[in-house]
Amino acid sequence: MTKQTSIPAKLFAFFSSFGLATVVLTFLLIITLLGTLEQVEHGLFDSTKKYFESYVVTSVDLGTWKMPILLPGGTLLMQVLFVNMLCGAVIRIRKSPRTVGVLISHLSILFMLFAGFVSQHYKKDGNLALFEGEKSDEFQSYHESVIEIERLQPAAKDGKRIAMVIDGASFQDLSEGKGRTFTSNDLPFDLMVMNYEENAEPRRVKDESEKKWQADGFYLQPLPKKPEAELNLDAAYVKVIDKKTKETQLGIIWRAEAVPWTVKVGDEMYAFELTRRKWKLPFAVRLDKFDREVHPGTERARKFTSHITKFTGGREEAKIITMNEPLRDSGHVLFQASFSQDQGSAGAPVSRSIFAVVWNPADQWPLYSLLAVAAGLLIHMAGQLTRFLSRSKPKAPSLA
Amino acid sequence: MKTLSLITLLLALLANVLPASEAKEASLELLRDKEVVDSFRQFPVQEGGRIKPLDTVARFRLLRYHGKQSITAEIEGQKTTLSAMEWLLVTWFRPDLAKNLPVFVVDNSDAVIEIGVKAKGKRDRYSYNELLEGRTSLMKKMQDLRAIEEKLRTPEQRALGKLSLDFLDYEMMMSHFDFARAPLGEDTKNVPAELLTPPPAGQSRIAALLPKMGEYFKAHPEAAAPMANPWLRDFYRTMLGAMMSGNEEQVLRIFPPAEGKTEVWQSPGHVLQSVLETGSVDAHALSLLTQYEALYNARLDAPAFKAKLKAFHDSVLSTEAARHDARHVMLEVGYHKADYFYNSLLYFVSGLLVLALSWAAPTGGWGKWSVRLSALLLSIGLIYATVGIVIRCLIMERPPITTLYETILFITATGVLIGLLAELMTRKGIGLTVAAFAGTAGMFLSIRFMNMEGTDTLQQLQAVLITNFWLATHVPCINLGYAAGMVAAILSMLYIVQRVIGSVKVGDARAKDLTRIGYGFVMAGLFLSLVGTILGGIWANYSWGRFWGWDPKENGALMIVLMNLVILHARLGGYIREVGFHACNIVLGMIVVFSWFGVNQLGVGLHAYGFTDGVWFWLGMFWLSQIVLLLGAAFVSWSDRQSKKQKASLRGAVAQMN
Repeated sequence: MTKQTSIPAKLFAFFSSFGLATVVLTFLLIITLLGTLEQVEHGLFDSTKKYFESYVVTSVDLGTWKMPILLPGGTLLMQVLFVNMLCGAVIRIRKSPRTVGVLISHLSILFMLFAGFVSQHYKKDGNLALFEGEKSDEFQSYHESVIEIERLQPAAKDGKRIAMVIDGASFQDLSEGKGRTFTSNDLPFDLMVMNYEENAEPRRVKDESEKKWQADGFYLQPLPKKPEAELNLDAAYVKVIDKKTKETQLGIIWRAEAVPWTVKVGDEMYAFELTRRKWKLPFAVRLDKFDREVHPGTERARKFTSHITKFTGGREEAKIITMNEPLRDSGHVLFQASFSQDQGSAGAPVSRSIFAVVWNPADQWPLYSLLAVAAGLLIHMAGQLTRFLSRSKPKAPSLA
Repeated sequence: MKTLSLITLLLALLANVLPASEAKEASLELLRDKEVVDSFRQFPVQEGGRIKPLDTVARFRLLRYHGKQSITAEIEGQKTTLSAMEWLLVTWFRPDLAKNLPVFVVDNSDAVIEIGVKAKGKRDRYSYNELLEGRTSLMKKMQDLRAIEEKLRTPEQRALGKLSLDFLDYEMMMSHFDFARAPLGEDTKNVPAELLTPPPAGQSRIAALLPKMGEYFKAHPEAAAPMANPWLRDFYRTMLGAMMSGNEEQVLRIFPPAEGKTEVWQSPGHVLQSVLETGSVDAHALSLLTQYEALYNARLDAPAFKAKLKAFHDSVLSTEAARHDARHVMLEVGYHKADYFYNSLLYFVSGLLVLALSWAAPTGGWGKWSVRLSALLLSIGLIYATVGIVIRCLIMERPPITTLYETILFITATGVLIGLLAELMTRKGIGLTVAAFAGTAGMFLSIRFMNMEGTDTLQQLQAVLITNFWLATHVPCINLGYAAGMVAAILSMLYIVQRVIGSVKVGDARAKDLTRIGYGFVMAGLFLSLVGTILGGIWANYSWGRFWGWDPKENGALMIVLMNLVILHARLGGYIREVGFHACNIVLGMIVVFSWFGVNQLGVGLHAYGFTDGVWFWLGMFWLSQIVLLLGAAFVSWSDRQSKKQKASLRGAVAQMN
C-alpha cells in the first residue's frame, strides 16, 4: 500500500529533512573552503562577494587552477538553511523534554542568522580619521562609492550644499562603453555616467587623436585590480547635459582627486565628486591626544589610546577610546582601529587616529544568541551523557 | 632600526676578517665553571620587548643556528658537549674556538654549493671557518634576496637567506667584547693620536675613550662618515658586535636604565652609538659598560672574574630593582632547566609503549598491570605538561594560549586529559589509547615546531590581543574544540586501522564503543567550536566593530563547526552508519588541522601569525596519511557490503533448500 501525500506535505518534508540539512551544510563547508583559499590571490572583499554574498558561484580561481563550476552561493545556502531549521528543528521536531536543548539551540541559531541578515542590510560601517586637534561629526564607508553633486553657487538658503547623491549600485555596472543618465527636477542639467573603472588613474593625452574618450586633455587608464579592495581608486567619465541648451561638458571624476570637477550650468556652479558614502554622527568628536605605546625596544604595538572630546548639543565630555574599549553612544560605536603619523606644517610629526565607526541595530544580538545556543547545547549534551553513562554501566546479574 | 640595518648591510658587504684573538684568552674550564655559567644564565636582559634571562637568549640563538639547544664538537682535542649558555660564553670569550664549532645547520646542501663551499651531507652542520670562503658570495646573495618577497622565495633561497643572517649575527656575537679588546680595530695607524692616548692608570679604557670620541666628533664633524675613516668603520663593527644583532628587536639589552620611567634597556653597543649620535655618554650607562669591560679584562684570573661577574650582576639587579622588571627571571631559568615538555614526551612515549605491551594479552594479569602502569605514566606526562603550561602563564602573566606553539601544548595536554577522563568513565582501554597517541604526537609536534621556528616561544603580544578576558574565554574554547575534533579523529583512525587489520568487526562491542565515544567527542567538539567561534565573533565586534568578516581563521573555525554539524545531521538522517561516521571524523581531523595550521600559512587575514617554513610539507604528509585511511574506510565499507550480499544469498539458498 502506498501512502498518498499532498504536494505541500511533500515540500514540507523536503524542507524539513535531515538530508537537505546535510547537503546545505556540506555545500557551505565547500564554499567556505574555496572562499578562504581564493582570498590569497583575490583578496577578502572580492572573495566575500563571490562566495558568501551570492546566490550562485560559477567559477573557481585558485592561482593556476581555474575552472568553471556551478555551486550554490552563501546567501542562497543560508536562506535555505534558515527555512530548513525552521521547518525541521522548530516545527517538525517532536516536542519533549529530550529535545528541549535541540529546540533552544536551533532557535538561537535562527536568531543569529536573522541578526546576520539585519546586519548585512542595515548596518553602516566606515571610518573616521582625525589629526590631533581636529573635529568631525561624520564618517565614511570603507567600500561604498557614491557620486556627490554639490551646488557651489548660488549657496542654498538652508545651508544644504549637497544637491544630489547617486548610489554606487546605480553606476558601478557601467563599464566598457556603457552609460546611464541621471536626472533630478532640482537640477538644471542631466548627468550621464560612463565607462566606470574600479581601479584607474587619469593620464595626460599625448596624441589628441589617440584616445576616443578624453576630458580637458586627460583620459582614464584602467589599472589592474588590487586584492585589497580599499586600495583601488575608482573613476568614471561624466557628461553634464544642460536641460535648456542641450550643451554638454565632459569630465572625469576620480576618487583620489584633490579637488572636485566643477561645471558652470547657466548661472549656477556645481562640483562633482566620486567619493565614499558619508554618514552623519549624532555627535561630534575631537581628537585631543593620541598615544601609541610599543613593547620596549621594539616597534610592536602594545596599546593605542585616543583621548577625545565628544560634543553632543552644547555638552562636552572627555572620553578615552582604546583597544577593546570602544565608545558607544546613540547606537553608534567608535573603535580604535589604526593610526598614522604625518609631517605637520611646522615639520614636527602629527599623529592621526583612525576609528572604525559602526551603526548596527543587531549589534548585541549575537551575544544573546550565544548565551541561548550554549544553554541549549549544554542541556542536550547533559542528557546525552547521562544516557551514555547509564548504558555503559555493567548490568547487575539477574537473580532469576 | 633602518639606520642599524643599513650599517649592518654596509659592514656585511665589506670584506671582513674578525680581529685576531689575543694571545691570552679565558680558559675553557672557566667558561664551563658551574658558578660562572649559572650566574650568566640568570642575567636579566631585555629582548623582543620583555625581560628574560640570558639563558633564554642563548638557547634560542643556538636553536636558530644549530637546530638544537646544545652543541657537541671536538674542542681542544676532546669531544665536548656545550650547553647553550656555555656556547654563548665561548663565542664571547673564545672566538678562536667558536669559529670551529659546527654551529650552522644547513637543511639544503644546494645553499652551500651556491656560495662556493664544498657541501657535506644533504642536511649538515658547518662551522664559521668552513663557510668563511663563501662569505663574499653569501653577502651578495643576501643583497639579491632582499629584492624577492619572502613568500615568493624558493626553499633554497630561504635557506640561503637564513644562513646569511645567522652568519652575520654570529660574527657580531664573536666580536661582542671587541669594545674591550680593540674598540678602534687592530690597525690603529690612521686613528687620530688624541684618541689613542692611554687612560690614566687604573681607569677603564672604554670609559676614557668614549668621552674623547665625543669631543673629537664635535671638533671634526666631517670625520663622522664611516666610508672615509677605516678606524671609524672598525668602531661601527665594534658597536654592532656589542649590540649582538643588526635587528633592533634582537639586540642584547643588558643595561637597565637608571630612570624609573624609562622602559627601554640599553646594550653595550647603544652606549657606543650614543657617542656617534649625540657626542656624549650617559654616566649611568658608562658606569655599567665600564664594569662589563672590567669583567672581560678579568678573564684570565678565575677568582677575579667571578668577583667582577657578581659585582656586575648585583649592579644590574639593584638598578632594575625599583621597577622589578626581572621578577620572573629565576622562574624562567627553572622552566628551561626542568624541560617540562621534553620530559612529558618521554612519559607519553613510555605510556604508549607500555600500553602496546598490554595488547599482547589484554585480559590477563599482565595486560591489567600494563594498563595501570600506562595510565600512571600518561598521568605523570600530563602533570609535566600542565606544570609547564602554568609556569608559562606565570612568567607572561596571561592566559595559556597566545601563539600557535602554545595551541599545540594546550591541545596536547587537553587531548591527554580528556582521553584519561574518557578512560575513567568507560574503562575500555580506548581513552587510554587516545591519550597515549595524542600525548606522544602532540608533544613531538610541539618540539618539532619550536625547532622549526627557532625563536623564543614566550612572546609579547600585539595590542589587540592584550586582553585577558578574551584570551581566557574564546581562545581556550576554540582550542578545546580543536582538541575534541582531534580526539574524535584519533578514535576513528583506531577504528579504521583495526577494521582493516581485522581485529574489530562491524557492530561488535569494541566497534560500538569507538563509535559511541567518537560521537560524544563530535558533540563536545560542536559545542566548544560553536561557542568558541561565536565568542570570537563577539570579541571581533568589541575590537573591530564587526561580528563576522570571513577572515581565514574565522572561516577555519566555521568549517570545523560545519563538519561537526554535517556528521551529526548525516548520522541522524541515517545517511552514514558506523564506517561512514568514522570516515567523516577523519575528514573532520583534516579540517581541524587546516584550521589550526593551514590558514596561518596562507599569509592573509587579521589572524595571520606568520609563515613557518616546512609546515606545508608536514601538513601535506598528514593529509596524505588521512587519505590513505579514507581509502581504508572505503575498502572496509565495500567489504562489509560484499559480506552482507554473501550472507543474503546464503540465506536465500538455505530458504530455497527448505
